[in-house]
This record gives sequence, C-alpha cells and structure tokens, in this order.
Amino acid sequence: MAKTLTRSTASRVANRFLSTSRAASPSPIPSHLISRRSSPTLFNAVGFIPALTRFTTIRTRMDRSGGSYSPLKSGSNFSERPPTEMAPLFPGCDYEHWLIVMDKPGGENANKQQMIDCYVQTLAKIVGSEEEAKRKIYNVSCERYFGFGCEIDEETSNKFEGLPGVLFVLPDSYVDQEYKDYGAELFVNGEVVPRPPERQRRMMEFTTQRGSDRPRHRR
Amino acid sequence: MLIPHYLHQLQLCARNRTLTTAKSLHAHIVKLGIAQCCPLANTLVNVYGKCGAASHAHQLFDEMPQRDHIAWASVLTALNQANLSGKTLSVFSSSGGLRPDDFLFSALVKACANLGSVKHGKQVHCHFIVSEYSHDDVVKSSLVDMYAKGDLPDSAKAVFDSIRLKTTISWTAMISGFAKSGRKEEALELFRQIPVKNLYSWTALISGFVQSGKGLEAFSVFIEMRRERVDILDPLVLSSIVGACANLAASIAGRQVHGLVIALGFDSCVFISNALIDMYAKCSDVVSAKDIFSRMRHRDVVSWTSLIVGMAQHGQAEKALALYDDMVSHGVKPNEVTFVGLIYACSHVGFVAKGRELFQSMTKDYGIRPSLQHYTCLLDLLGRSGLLDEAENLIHSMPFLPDEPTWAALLSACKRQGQGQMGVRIADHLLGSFKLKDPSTYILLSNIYASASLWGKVSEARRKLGDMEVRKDPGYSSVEVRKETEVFYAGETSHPLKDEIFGLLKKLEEEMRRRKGYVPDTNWILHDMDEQEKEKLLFWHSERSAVAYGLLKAVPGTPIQIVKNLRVCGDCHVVLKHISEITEREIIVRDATRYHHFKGGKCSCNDFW
Repeated sequence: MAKTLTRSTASRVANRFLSTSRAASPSPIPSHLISRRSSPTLFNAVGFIPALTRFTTIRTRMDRSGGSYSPLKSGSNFSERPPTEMAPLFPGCDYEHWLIVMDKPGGENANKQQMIDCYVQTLAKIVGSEEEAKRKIYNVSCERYFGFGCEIDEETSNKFEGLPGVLFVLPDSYVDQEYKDYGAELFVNGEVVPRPPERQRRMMEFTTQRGSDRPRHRR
Repeated sequence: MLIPHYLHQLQLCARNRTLTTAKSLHAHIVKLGIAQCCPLANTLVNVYGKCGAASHAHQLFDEMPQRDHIAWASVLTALNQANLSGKTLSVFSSSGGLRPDDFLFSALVKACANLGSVKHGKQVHCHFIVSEYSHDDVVKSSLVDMYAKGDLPDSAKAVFDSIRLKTTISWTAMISGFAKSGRKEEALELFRQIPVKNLYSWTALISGFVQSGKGLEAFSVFIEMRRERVDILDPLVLSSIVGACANLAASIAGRQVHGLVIALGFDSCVFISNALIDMYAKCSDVVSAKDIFSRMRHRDVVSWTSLIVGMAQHGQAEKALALYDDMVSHGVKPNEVTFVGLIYACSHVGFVAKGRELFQSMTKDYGIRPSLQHYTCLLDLLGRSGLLDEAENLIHSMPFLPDEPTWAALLSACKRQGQGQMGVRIADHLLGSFKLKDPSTYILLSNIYASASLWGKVSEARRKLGDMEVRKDPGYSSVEVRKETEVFYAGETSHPLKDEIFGLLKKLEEEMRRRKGYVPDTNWILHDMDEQEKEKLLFWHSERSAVAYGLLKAVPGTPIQIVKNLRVCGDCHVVLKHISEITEREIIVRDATRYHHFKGGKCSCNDFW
C-alpha cells in the first residue's frame, strides 16, 4: 500500500509523506507558551456588538476587523443604543456654543491678560483672525478652570483637535438658565465685561465650590 | 412618631436589600396616608433602587409631587444598575434644567459610559467643569471611565491627570482605557506606577490588551501576574486569556489555560465554559468544543451559539442545524449571532429553503432585525445555489447600503456560475461607483473581464491595483509544530530547512502535475511579470512553505495547522487540496476569512471562499 517514489535526496525526505500514514498520535505534551510570533487576530465571527461593527473582506462577513465574537461580551457592553435623537441633556446646549478647556494658557504663571491673549490666539488659528476670534468669544475663565466659550458650529469645533494646549472641546450649556448665561466672565468684543449685580450674585451662588455634604458610602 | 419608625425600617431594607419587606412597609405607608410625606417618599425610591426594583423606583418617583436631590440620585442610579441607562438620561432631561449635584453627575456620567455615548458624556463633562462640583474626584474617575469606554484615551488621560487623589479605581479605569485602545506602552507604564495593584488592575490591563488585539502582551502580563501569585478570586481574567488564545488560535496555550481553569475550580462557571468552547472551535478542535458543551450543567444562549458557530465555520453544517433544533427544544432563545452562524452553515451546503426559512424565522419568531451580516450570508447562499437574479434583488431590496464586499460577493458568484454578462455589468458598476479597498476585488474584476475577453478593462483593473497603496502586511503563515510555532513569509525563505522544503514542494508539484494534471494558475498574480516569474511567486506563497515544514517536522499523521494572515489564493487552495490527497494528511488552514479543512483532496469550504 505504500506509495513509493524514485530515490533522490529530496525525495527520500518527501517519501515519508507519500506512504500510508500511521494512526494519529495524541497531541504533544503541553509546554511553555508560544515563543514565536503568531498571526494577529484573524478569524472572528460576528460579535454581540451588532450594527456598529463592519467587516471588510469580500466573500462573507464571518471574519476579521472589528467584530469580535467573544463570549466575554455576552453581557453586551452597550445594553441599549443611546438615544441619539434625544434632546441635549442641559438647557442651552445647542452645539453652537463650545467650551474650550486649555492647559496652562499663556505658559506657567501667566497673568490674566496673557491667558486671554492665548485664548484669542488659539481661536484665531481656527477662524482666521484675532478680530474674528474676539467677536466669537463670549466668556473667559482664568481661575477655577482655564478656558473660554466661543460661538462656532460643530464642524469648526472639530478643528481644535490636536491644537497645542487644548485639553477638551465640549458643548456648552447654561449655568444660569433663567438669564441664558453660560457662566465665567463675560467677554464682549475683546473686553471682559462685568455682569449686572443680580446676575452676578446668582452666578456666584451657582458656582461657589462645594464639596459633597453627604457621606460617600451612599454611592 | 410613625414616620421616623418607618424611615428606620426602610433604611434597614435598603442596607439588607430585602425587597419583600420593603413592599409590605410601602403598603402600610400607603394605607396610613403618609406616602406623600417627603422624607418617606424619597427613602422609598432609594430602597427600591437599592433592592434592584428599578421600575418600582421609577414609578414611585414619577408620582412624587416634590423630589429632592436624593430622590433623583436614587432613581437614576437604580436605572443605571438595571441596565436602563437610556432611561437614566431621558428621565434626567425631563427635569427641565435641574442642576446636578456630585451624585447626579456621577450617575449621569455612568449612564453615558454604559451607553457608549461620548456625545452625551461631553455635555455632562462641560456642565461639570463650570459647576460648583468641578473638583470632585469621584466624578472625574467616572469621566475617565467614560472616555476610556468611548475610545478617547487622550481625553481620559487629561481628566485623570487632574484628579487630586487617585484611587485604585481611577488608575484602573485609565489603564483599561489605554489597554483597550492598544496603547500598550502607556498602559504598561501607568501600570508600573500604581501604588496598590489588585486583581482588578491586572484584569483591566489583560482584558484591555485582549480586546485591542494585543494577545501576546496580554499573555506576558498574565504570566507576570501568576509569578506574583495574585489570587484569582474572580475568573474574568481567565476568560480574557482564553479569549486571547482563541484570537491567536494558540491551541497549546489554550489547553494550558483550560487546565488552570480546572485547577482553580472555575470549570463550572458558565461564561468561562463559553469562552473555552469558542477557543477550541477557533483552534479548529470542534470535538473538544463539543465535549465542554456536553459537560456543562447550565448553558445559556452563548454556549449554544458558540458551538453552532464553531460547527458552521468548520463545514459541519448539518450538525450545526441539528444543534439549533436541540437548542430550540430546550427553550433557549437564539440571538443575532446564532442566526448568522445558521445561515452561514446553510450557505455551505446549499440549503436554500432552510436558509430562507431561518431568515424569516429570525424576524417573525424572535423579533430580531437582520443586520448586514445576515443579508450577506443569505446573499452567499443564493449566489452559491445559482440564484443570481434573486441575489441581486436582495442587494437592491435590503435596508443597507451595499458596499464593496457585498457586490464582490455577488460578482464571485457570477464568475463561478459562468454568468459572464451579468458579471461584466456588475463589474462595471463596482469599478465605477467605488474606490476599491481590497486588492482581491481587482483580481476578481480582472478575471471577469478576462473571461469576457475585455482586455482593455483588464488592463484598467490591473493599473488601478498598481495605483493602490502597497499593502503594508506581507503575506505570512504560521504553523504549530510540536512545541514551537514557525512563521514563514511569502517569497523564498531563508529558513535552515530551506532545501528540504524546496525539495519537498518540488516533489509534490511533480506528483500533482502527473496525477492531477495540475497547472499553476498565474491569474492570481496581477503584477506585471513573465509567466515563469509568476509561477515562482506562487510556488513560494507562505502557506506552502508552512505546509512543507509541517509535513517535515510534525508528528506523522497529525493534522497540520496553519494560520495565515491573508486570504489563501486560488492556486494555493487547489495545491493544498492535492497535497492533502497525495500525502493523506489533514491540513487545516485558518486564513483571514475562514477555516479550510483539507482532507482527501477536498476542502470543507466547498471551494467557496
């Protein structure tokens, strides 16, 4: 039954495989974990994370990139779809007003004016000129947090990505709903402008730092 | 007199989580007419929340004429814990401008994290910064977690750096964020800095790495964890590592971890068993997968589905379908993934009617909306069975935008069924409408045009392929032999056993030509070169070197297991079939899209990949 071949150096080696195979022996003794490189994640069936995963190969979708069928995800990380059509959570959040939080604006030990200059210059990089930037900025903060509010659309807000010194780009909302006030110090046409006393009083009340006065363990 | 008494009783219920007692107390309170009393009402909401009765809490909350922050925090937390985070946000936004306190901020951020909604998370973050609670470390910790889950590790880090008193929870959230995004150096760096490591820190790092595809890093960390004798009291880390084995098709490692699972006493844990079934299936050992499944005393839908999918992927379609019948008779409801597996199985054996029936059943009986994956599997089924017009109609009627893979699937069916005209029409559409991303699409197009003798278009396809970015990953195959895994790259190898490999492959090729009339199909090489060079390229495709090495070195008679990072080319597929027949060995190849079991000259994929 053995199928033999002509004998040459290479074929002697090849011969082994062309003869009848013996019964398969059991798997070798387990040893140390794999030492060489192994291929990256290849074959993954569809995961429990539906819809958000797309596969990119041609023939079928039962495979790589993104969708990983892992029993780990049997509980499903994302239990429901976030209601994207849902109204914003806070009044005044219209995605036309953005809070830009910065890291050490104007450098270490900068004074207030230097910080404000930094804010203006940063926005100017996006909107084109410092005059335009001054028009767009509606508030500045140089104490509790360092940043400014500016009136731009969502697409423009994305341009802050990667700018040096920018920590966060966040959709702004009212601190004082009644007066439609976004808080911090009002900034109009390049100048810090004080609020009317009543509004200022309310603002102080809303933003005075408070710690939790309830015991932590309630969480 | 009464009120303090009931308050005290209710607080005991909250602490002990005794729902029935709470309910009877509630009944008393209602009958006594004091249910509207503010402290009682607030406490009731809190108690229901803590006892896990989120809907009760919510209902009660809705009926309250006056609610304080405690009531709000209680109901929102209860909704979060009941996995109803969408409700958390909608209930809050119905408040019309309530100013959150630190507890509410935490609950809101957690809801956003649970939903994976960074969009809403940023709204909360903004409001938090300008509020009077902006220094709160606990909220910041939740923000780190939210950004980490939303795949924005840089934002997470920025918040993390601002936390004054970092707790193990915040460290772990940050490390998890880096690990999940695949930023391994930063994750490891941070991990070294944690003042106090616990099992959760290790678990976060390991499972983060597994999720981002860094299986080997996950393993090194796991080994280190074992060396430090960290007590594995919670098995989540084990199921992560099993997952890593599955992704890497590391059957030897997988078996060792399985041993560990048994030694540590977690073998009756359902989700670990599920992970093991999946791992064995992905290592092409469906027998072991079935074995684990049979021994489970409690199974859930994931257990059944893992095995069904495993069988389907290895060409055991009838078994998969039989298992499904069994599953249904046990009263277990299938989910989306089950149906993908089932329809996939049908497409491999041409069970058109069954496939269609399952597709209908998915929506009709189980209310599952078919995803693009389901449609594609159905498309494959119709294509393979020659029902091309129906397949094309499906593409037009499905509620998803057909993309490159969808059309390419139909195109390859046309090619196989010899439908030249339709093939050309679709090829034109594909070429004209999409900026193609997959080089094999170009190969397909070129072949379709070639069979229709449209040489101008053939050149166009090849030129566009040339214009494409050069693929960054070279083709390589790894083969597990005894203790080691060898990796072979495409092209002439410089391996020490090169001569033997070359000799063996040459010998096999001679046999193939002689017995089977094999001729290398150079259509699979699109580069511009002469025929001889093309044949040489094919000869040195990595899977062939890997098979040769396996034949030379593996225990005789055992199946040779190969993992390839790209799709096996058509010529290699033919060659491997021949080799399996000539050498009477089983060859199992896991490529980028599926499993191939080559045995006796045939492949389990039925030549459709």
